[in-house]
Amino acid sequence: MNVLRLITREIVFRKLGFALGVLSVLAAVGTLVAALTVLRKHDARTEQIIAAKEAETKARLAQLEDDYRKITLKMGFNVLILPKAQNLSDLYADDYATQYMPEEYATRLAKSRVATINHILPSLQQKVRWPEYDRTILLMGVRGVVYLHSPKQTPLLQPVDPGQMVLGAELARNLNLKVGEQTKFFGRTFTVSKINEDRGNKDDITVWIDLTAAQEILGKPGQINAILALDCTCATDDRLAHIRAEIGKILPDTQIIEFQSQALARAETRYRAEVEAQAALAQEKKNRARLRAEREAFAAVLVPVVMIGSAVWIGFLALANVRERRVEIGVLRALGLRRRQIFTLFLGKAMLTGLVGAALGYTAGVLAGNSWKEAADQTPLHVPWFDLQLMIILLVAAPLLAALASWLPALLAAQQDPADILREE
Amino acid sequence: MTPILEFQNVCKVFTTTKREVRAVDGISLTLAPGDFVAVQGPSGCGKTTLLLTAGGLLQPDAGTVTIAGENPYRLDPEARAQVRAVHIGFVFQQFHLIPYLNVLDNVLAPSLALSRPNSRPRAAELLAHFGMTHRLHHVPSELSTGERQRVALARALLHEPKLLLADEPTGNLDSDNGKIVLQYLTEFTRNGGAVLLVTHDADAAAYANRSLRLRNGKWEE
Ligand SMILES: Nc1ncnc2c1ncn2[C@@H]1O[C@H](COP(=O)(O)OP(=O)(O)OP(=O)(O)O)[C@@H](O)[C@H]1O
Ligand SMILES: [Mg+2]
Repeated sequence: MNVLRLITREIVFRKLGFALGVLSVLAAVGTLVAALTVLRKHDARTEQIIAAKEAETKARLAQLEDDYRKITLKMGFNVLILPKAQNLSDLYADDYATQYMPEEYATRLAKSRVATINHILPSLQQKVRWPEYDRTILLMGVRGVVYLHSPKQTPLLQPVDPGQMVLGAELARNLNLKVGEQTKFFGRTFTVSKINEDRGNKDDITVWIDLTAAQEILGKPGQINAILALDCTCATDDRLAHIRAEIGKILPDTQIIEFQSQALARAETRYRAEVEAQAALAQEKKNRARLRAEREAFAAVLVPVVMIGSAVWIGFLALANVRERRVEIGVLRALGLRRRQIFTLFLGKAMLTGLVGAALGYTAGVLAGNSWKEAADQTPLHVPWFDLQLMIILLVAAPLLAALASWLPALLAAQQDPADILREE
Repeated sequence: MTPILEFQNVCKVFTTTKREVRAVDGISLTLAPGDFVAVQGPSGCGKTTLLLTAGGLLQPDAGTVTIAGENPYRLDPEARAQVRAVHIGFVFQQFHLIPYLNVLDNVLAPSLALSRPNSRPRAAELLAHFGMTHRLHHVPSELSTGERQRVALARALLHEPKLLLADEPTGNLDSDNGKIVLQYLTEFTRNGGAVLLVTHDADAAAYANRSLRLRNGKWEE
């Protein structure tokens, strides 16, 4: 015989009282767990929404980067400085400039430190027949970027090293050339250092080599026919006029045209969309946070109210139990049980109530929390069933709180005078 | 022979707002092993008060109570509880079995207070002696009143006390069942125990080897 047996026998005997106690613990623990589950679900949902939005934004950003890369491939420059004599109609028809100017212009421009442009790239281009393959190509001689503002800026375009060659995709395919292979070009040996991907324009049949080599091959030493420049983001209304004015002073016999980049326009649109998307994302985050705060505040009121209600209810149940068991207490004391044992008897029962209630309440709470939907059309989202830490906390805390709630009734039971009880009966 | 129970000028006074009741008024009494003492008296004369005082449950206002050579009221409540567990068995008119325990567990209930080896075989043995073997796993509500009192008696005897305190043990029983209980009490005294039986039933008192009458808390000559 031990106290635990006494407790469990009594529980089985007075099922209703115990069930009522368990039910109230269940309600308290269930409310708490359901609230936590809902909040967790909220967080998971938020994560889901934000992740989706972010993925979307990221995809857009990737597209944007791709556009920028394409611009960069278009030399990344959006101002074209041409010899004054260049007929623009010819330029648009042939896709490359046919007039020449001294290469020294680029250096002059670089040294003059114009404020309106950032990078300049001198180039010499011409349609030629590749004698070794007997094929028309566009030859582009480029020099490493001439930096204007900061020598530490990463180059927007990889210069082609002497003895190396970059090929357009179509050309490489046709001539069956691979990266690392050597080929002859106007009697000189070049190593293919890179093959660009398909771009769907003249780039696909272009050969890029070092500017000096191109000048030698074309018999145009010290000559170039275009300088590409990336303008700075100066906030003037008429950017082009500004640039023209500035460059015109330095290089009088040139003309400056804006490189109307479709890709740039698209990128700008995307950029704006991106900014909007970022703002929307921030707004969404804010909304979710506000909603969470509301739910949290609700739980913060509901949970303590239910818990206090449950504690009071448990206290009353214990009190009723003590009254009901007056004679039993008297008899047990007459049999020699100590006060502490009577106290343990009632406290133990309360703890058992808490334990069973917590176990059931946890299950009920997760069930209730999981069946809760933010909106009817949402895909079901389940938080994990088993949170060991929470469960352990509840399985310890609920019995302790139930014991606390039954403390006074248990004390009352222990303090009862057996003589009073036995005389009356 | 050292007495099992000794009362020396014991007084117990209840003071209520209206009056003062001298429930036990200068009582002296000695019970030695083998004594079967019956205390008779009308309702309200102080029988139960006397019994509770003898059982270490009600502190007297004057006089000394000695149980097995020790004054339980000089001890702290927990030690006094232990004295009850070791030396005293109670039998009540209302049996006071624990309603949710079966017969065997009811008889074993005193082992909560005093854990002794072989309580179980002893309980089973006692119940067999009282003819209750076929009812071991029944709860009190499933028993007849006579059976209930026999279970209560078995419970009182589990720890082999020296003193049985019986408050109207036959009060709720028919005469046949009453006789059975009284015979067991007699048997207990023959085996060296002492019984203090309070009753207002003269037939029950006839089993005692000493009969006393109580009136207004005093012995009646
Ligand atoms: N706690 C108490 N407070 C006040 N008066 C009490 C108390 N306990 C007992 N009494 C009084 O003491 C007297 C003796 O009571 P007790 O219960 O001992 O009588 P009894 O002889 O057992 O009676 P019955 O045969 O009816 O059981 C009664 O008058 C009772 O009213
Ligand atoms: Mg009485």
